[in-house]
Order: sequence, then structure tokens, then C-alpha cells
Amino acid sequence: MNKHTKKNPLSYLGWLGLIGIIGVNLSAHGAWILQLFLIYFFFFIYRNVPADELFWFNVKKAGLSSFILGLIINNIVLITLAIFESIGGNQDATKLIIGMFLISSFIPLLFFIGILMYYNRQEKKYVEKDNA
Amino acid sequence: MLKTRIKEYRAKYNLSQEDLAKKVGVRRETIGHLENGRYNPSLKLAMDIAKVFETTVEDLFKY
Repeated sequence: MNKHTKKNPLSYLGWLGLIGIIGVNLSAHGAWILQLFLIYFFFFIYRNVPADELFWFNVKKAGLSSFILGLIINNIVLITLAIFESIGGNQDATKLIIGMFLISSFIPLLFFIGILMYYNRQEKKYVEKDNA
Repeated sequence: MLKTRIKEYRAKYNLSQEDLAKKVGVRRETIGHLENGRYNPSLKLAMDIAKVFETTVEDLFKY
């Protein structure tokens, strides 16, 4: 591969998965949240996928959808927290904030991964169809 | 989406999708998508494909 492809930079996100391993080791000390970083290991599957323009086109489409979903979730989270605060939040507020933060951070990421996988499957399906 | 004559030219030059993909530096899936009008290429890729087939972009792609 040459001009239009580069070493796939998306696969570098996979290294963030190492934080998840730290989370596994520290889960007894309350750092279980870090385990969610294990999701990032998914990106290593793109290590040997050449990053040509169709690949980036799909990444952009998946990224846009995830960004919009992220915006919607963030707004819902903010409104929920504001309502909770206005009705006089109690000691569970920290847990609620952490939970909401997790939702607003990882749902768009999972959505991005899911859509990207769908596009990759579609690509392969079309290739098989063309061969038939 | 653009209509292309890539398939026609591939047959003329006796090139497989894989061969063409290697020549222009993309994946085979990308060539498949181009041929079936599921993806519009960048001007650079269009020019590279046209160069392989010794033709012009206008001849290869029709709107």
C-alpha cells in the first residue's frame, strides 16, 4: 500500500486499553471505573487494516453519528443533574454524577465502535456479493 | 453518486480489483465501492485511477 493508505492511526487508540488493565488490578480499591477502558482494545483490530479514503469516510460517518448521540446524552445528563440539584440532592449525588459521566462518555464510544463494525461488515458483504 | 467505467477499463487492461487496488494504493473494497457507485472518490484517487488506464477523469467518471 502506498499513496492513499497510511499505517492505521485508529489502532493506536487500542493502547488506552492498558488503563483498563490497571483498573482490573485496582478494582478492589474502588478504581473499577477504569475497567471500562478495556473497550479501547477493540481498536487493535484495525492494526492491519490499511487506512485508505473509504476507511476514513466510514470513520467520519461513524464519528458524526456518535458525536450527535454524545451531545444528546450530555444534554440529558446535564438536565437530570440540574433537576436532581434543584430538588435538593443528597449524599448519593457523587454516585449519580459518576454514573451520568460514565453514560455520557462510554455510550457514544460504544456506538462509534458498533457503527464502524457495521460499515466494515457492509464493505465485506458487498465484496462477497461482487464476487458471486 | 458518480457512474464509472472502471469495470470496463479493468477488463480491457485485464486487471483484477486487487491489482488495481495495489496500483493506486487502496483496499479492494474501495475499488468495489467505486465500481458500483457506492462511493465518490477524491480527485487525487480519481486521477490516479485515470492514470493507470491512460485516460482522463472525465472519461472514467460520469455524473
